[in-house]
Amino acid sequence: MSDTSLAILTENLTRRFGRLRALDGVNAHVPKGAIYGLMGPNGAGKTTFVRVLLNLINPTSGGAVVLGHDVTKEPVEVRRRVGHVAALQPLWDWMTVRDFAEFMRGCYPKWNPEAVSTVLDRIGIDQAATLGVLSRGQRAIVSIAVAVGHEPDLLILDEALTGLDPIARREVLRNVIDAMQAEGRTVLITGQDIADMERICDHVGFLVKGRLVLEATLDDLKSRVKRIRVEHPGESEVQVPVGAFQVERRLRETVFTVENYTPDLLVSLDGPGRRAVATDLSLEDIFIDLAQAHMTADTAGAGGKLLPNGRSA
Amino acid sequence: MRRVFAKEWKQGQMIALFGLLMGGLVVALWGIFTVAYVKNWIDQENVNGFCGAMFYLVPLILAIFVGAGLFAAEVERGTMPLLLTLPFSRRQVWVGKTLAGLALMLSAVAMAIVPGAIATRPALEEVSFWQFAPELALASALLYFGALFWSTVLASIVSAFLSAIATGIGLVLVGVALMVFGGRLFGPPLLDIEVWALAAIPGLIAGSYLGFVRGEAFLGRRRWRMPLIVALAIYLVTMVVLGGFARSLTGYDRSQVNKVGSATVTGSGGVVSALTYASPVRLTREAEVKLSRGATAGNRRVYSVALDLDTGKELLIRREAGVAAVSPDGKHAVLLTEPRPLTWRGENWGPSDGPIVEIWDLSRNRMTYRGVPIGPTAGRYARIQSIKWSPDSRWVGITTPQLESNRLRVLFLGLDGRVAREVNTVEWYGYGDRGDAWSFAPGGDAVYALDGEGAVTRYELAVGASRKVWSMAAAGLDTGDWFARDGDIALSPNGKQVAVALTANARHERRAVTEPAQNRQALRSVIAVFQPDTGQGHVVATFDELVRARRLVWSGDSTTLYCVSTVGDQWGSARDRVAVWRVGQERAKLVMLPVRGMGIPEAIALADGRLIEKQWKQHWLIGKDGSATRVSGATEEALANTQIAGVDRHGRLIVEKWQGEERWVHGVPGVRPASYLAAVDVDTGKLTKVYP
Repeated sequence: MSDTSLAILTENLTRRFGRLRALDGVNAHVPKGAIYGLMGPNGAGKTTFVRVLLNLINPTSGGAVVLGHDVTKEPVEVRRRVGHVAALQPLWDWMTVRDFAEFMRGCYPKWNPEAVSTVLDRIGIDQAATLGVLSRGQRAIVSIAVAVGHEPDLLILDEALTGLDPIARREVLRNVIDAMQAEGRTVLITGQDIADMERICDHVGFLVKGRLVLEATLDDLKSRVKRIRVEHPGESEVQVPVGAFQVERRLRETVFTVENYTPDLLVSLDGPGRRAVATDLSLEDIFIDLAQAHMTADTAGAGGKLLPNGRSA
Repeated sequence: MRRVFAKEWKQGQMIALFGLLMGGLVVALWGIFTVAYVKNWIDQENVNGFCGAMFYLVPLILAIFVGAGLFAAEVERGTMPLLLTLPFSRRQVWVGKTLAGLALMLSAVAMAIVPGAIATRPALEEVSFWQFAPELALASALLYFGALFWSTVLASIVSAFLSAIATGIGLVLVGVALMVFGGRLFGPPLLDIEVWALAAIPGLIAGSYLGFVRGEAFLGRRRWRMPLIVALAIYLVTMVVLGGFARSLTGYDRSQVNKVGSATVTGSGGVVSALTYASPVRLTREAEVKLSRGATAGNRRVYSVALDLDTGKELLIRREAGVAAVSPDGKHAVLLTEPRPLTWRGENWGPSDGPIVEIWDLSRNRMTYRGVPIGPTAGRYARIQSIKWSPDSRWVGITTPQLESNRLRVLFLGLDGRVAREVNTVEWYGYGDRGDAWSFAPGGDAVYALDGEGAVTRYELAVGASRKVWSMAAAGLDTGDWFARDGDIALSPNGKQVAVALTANARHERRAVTEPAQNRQALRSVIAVFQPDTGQGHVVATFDELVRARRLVWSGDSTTLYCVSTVGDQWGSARDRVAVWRVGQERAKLVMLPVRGMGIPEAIALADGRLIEKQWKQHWLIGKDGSATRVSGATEEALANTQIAGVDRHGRLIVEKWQGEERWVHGVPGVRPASYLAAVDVDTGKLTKVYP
């Protein structure tokens, strides 16, 4: 299980907590140099996925390779090359910002103090200040700044932008993530701020109830997932293509979403008295449609068969 | 690991200062109670005791505080994931934190104790604070690792704190149980509570390590079953290993035995308190007490050994088991240990607790009973004076002085340790180690006991009845102002005669016993013989004011009674006098021995009926006809520097023979160098080494 072009590779990654499957056969592929957005509703398993990657917890089955290292066999090597910031990560409040940076500096073989200072100075955080007196957002900035100090090959931001004001968020995106991308390093962002994701990510994955239901580049995703509206004069029974979801049947039209859109699909739907139109979806729309469809299918007992991950199913 | 250690150390520095503060508070309290005006209201001894107790508490609190917070505080603050995403292995994090915790604890304790101890040095010395320093260190370590374990698996400071206290108490309870009942599980020698508690530490460490490395308690998921099972398993294994190691350290090595003492010989075998040199490893409180109490012990271990004198085989070996006696049938042994040092009780030195009584089945090497039948509730001054087995080996009689009433108190125990009967006899202080105020009846199911009025009562052990069988008045003696002071009672081996020796109070010059024939002539001592069934008998000897009848000895064939007496006051004897009475004669023949001595002479009947008596380095052989011969030549040489232990089943005289002179050591007289047990033929002087 190794692919040098991938920063993260998981195979059938499963983690159970008692009866609950927090991760259920996840097959993720994060290319090196990508800005990968991992999205999913609350409880989808995003943080569990990150914790397994950092070997904070062990998978129940399956495996994961990060930067070429098996996370269960070489966890220290993985952590040495990965920067990680968790949502609202508590820090050692008795340390000053400078103490904290110095402590972290001692933990890694290489350290770029300028990278840390740049972020801190731009936001205007006093390095002599004690962490305990900083605001929640300021501490998040400190965490992010320190996480890039050792110039990680992979930066994981686990809902780390939560709580940041728009200015700080923009600074982080501009100074940290853009710099990472410019240097060809990988960023994995989890969260629910889809507008940010859409702006910065080039790859996305959708995690719903522990299953990675879709994984693609953003462009590909947008070109593949379309909403189709078929107008018909009366209560015509439109043959919805296989794989369509979020199907809505109304009096004079039928609306549904398809994953694998092609122009031929419109031709096949057109007919006497009928007219089919495809519209683009925003990432947020795609996310909502996918999540709802999958959760509805789960409730109906269809499981993950509704929209299998095209690359690994 | 160094980074984690450094971070923990820096983070916990306040704890050391907290220790200093706690120590300072204790010193301040001591100062207030000692030098401030409240000193007039509170006894200084209590203040010092309070000060010592507070100083004991400080390390325990600090240990548990540091241990409980080490992992749980990190989890509760939410910083554990941050720590675990650093490029360190779990092992490095665990080791770094644990070592830092240890260093913090030691620093905090040092900060708390050292300055405070210097400031209150006189007080702590007065309450022997440092005597318990090893126990304190062990308890602190136990609580630290207990708290560490629970901190790792429960991830909650309060839960870890409380669980560590419960664990400490539980381990002590297990230690107590194992100390008491361990003999039935593991065999001798028994190990002390500290050893069992020590055995828990590796398990706690392993459980904590495993809980941290494998567990996910840091994420709020408590996985305590697996670490707890591992900790318990390692605890059990360590107990076995440590128990074996301790046993090997303290194991009995016959080749190392270089001193025997307190040997008593029964018809079936002998019991020896054997002393061996040993390494200065201190494992038991008992050993410490023994070693500190007796200059004779020095840096040695003491064993009680039941021997088969014929084969030299050790039937039972017990370390620090105290006084021992083997039953006449050789099947059981009773051992009595006084576990606490003697303390001054106003008027006398006495143990603060009762002796531990053990009864062993020698054939199976199993302890059938262990307990404290003569506990504090039954009498505070429960020092053991003598142990005697009944002739049928069914009962053990333990004689102890009861200081409150000045009476000898005798408890009769069955083989299961149950107290069958308690008898209070004469005032105790006139009866020395070898003087008895009671004797078993021939069948063993009853005893004859003297009382303060010079009467003898028979007590039935099984049914609890009693009746007076003989008295001075019944013998025709005036007992108007009799005040029993000293004496002995001895049943003839065939059970047909009971001999009684009684001495009047000498200190107050009371005219005690008079014989009508002598017209109220003042007497000090009287020797009488009567038949236990009918109570009929007569006085066979009376002594003048200077003589004290001390010991009665029957010959093995029950034809001759010897009474060893001393002439002079109780502290020194100008002469010894032996009364020799043969069954059928009216009066005893009196033999005067020209010896000077102290205390009660050693005397025992040989197999051929002669009496051998030792007083002040001289041995005399007294014949049935009253002839007295001083031992000389080879026999004198063989018996030089010996103490009589008894006569074995083959009639051999068994003595404890030491090399060199007895001497005073640290104010203790009669300290003997290396010694061994030997059998001596009194006619030829042939000496045969028996043990070790």
